[in-house]
Amino acid sequence: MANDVEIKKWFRLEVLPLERHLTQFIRHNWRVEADVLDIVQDVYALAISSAQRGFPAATRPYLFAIARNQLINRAKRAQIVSFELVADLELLDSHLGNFDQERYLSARETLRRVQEGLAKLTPRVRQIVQLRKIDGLNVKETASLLGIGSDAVRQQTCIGMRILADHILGTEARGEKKKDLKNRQIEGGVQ
Amino acid sequence: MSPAQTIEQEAAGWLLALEDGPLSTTDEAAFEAWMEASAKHKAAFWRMEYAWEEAGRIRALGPAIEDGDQEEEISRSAL
Repeated sequence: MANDVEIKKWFRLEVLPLERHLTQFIRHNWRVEADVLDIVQDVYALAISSAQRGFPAATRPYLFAIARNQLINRAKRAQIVSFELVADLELLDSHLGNFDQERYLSARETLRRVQEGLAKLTPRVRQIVQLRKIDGLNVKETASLLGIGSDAVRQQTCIGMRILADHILGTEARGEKKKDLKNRQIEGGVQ
Repeated sequence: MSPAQTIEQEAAGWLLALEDGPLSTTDEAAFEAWMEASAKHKAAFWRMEYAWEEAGRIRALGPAIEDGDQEEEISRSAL
């Protein structure tokens, strides 16, 4: 039985580096873009639950097998997907190892991704993230400096965190177009 | 917002609250209950925590980053 500390370590070291390819795999085999994030989260949850009983010998094929099964189950449940798609999914086994080998990002590459992610944020969200991460200001201090409410700072920081996470982990905002990304930030009250 | 997006949003909110902590006893219990309620919550929180830690690498660039400097820095680091 693995505990949460061990599972978290495994999740960070072995699962998260696979996110970019896992998302590509799901997106390639599932046409409904709005479902992709839900499916990735389902796969992670199943992997974490299973890890409580023991870690897989090889994380990559294990994770992609979970993803394949999730896609098959969803396709069957939806009943709107053609039988051919389900049949194709059942043949996916032999393609699970066809991606390039994942590698850990160097510090420099990670920094570059962070910088690129920051560039995607609206000026106000970027400023709030920088005040927190560079200047070390907390929510109250940021709110006071910018003359806005603490709730607005929290909300905008959370938006920045989510967009940066997608970029750092290589999901590229999960296929969102620039317009959708902008809408997400505007919906969060960011102009 | 999809169910997964809602969970992500909650995970980011908890992470921020924990950083600004300490949490009240009630909030601490609420956070623990939220984490234990679903493996999806753990996945979203651990993912967000990891990425947010990595985002801290911008500290290496020093304070007061201007957009122009940032772009220059990106192209320089790509060399």
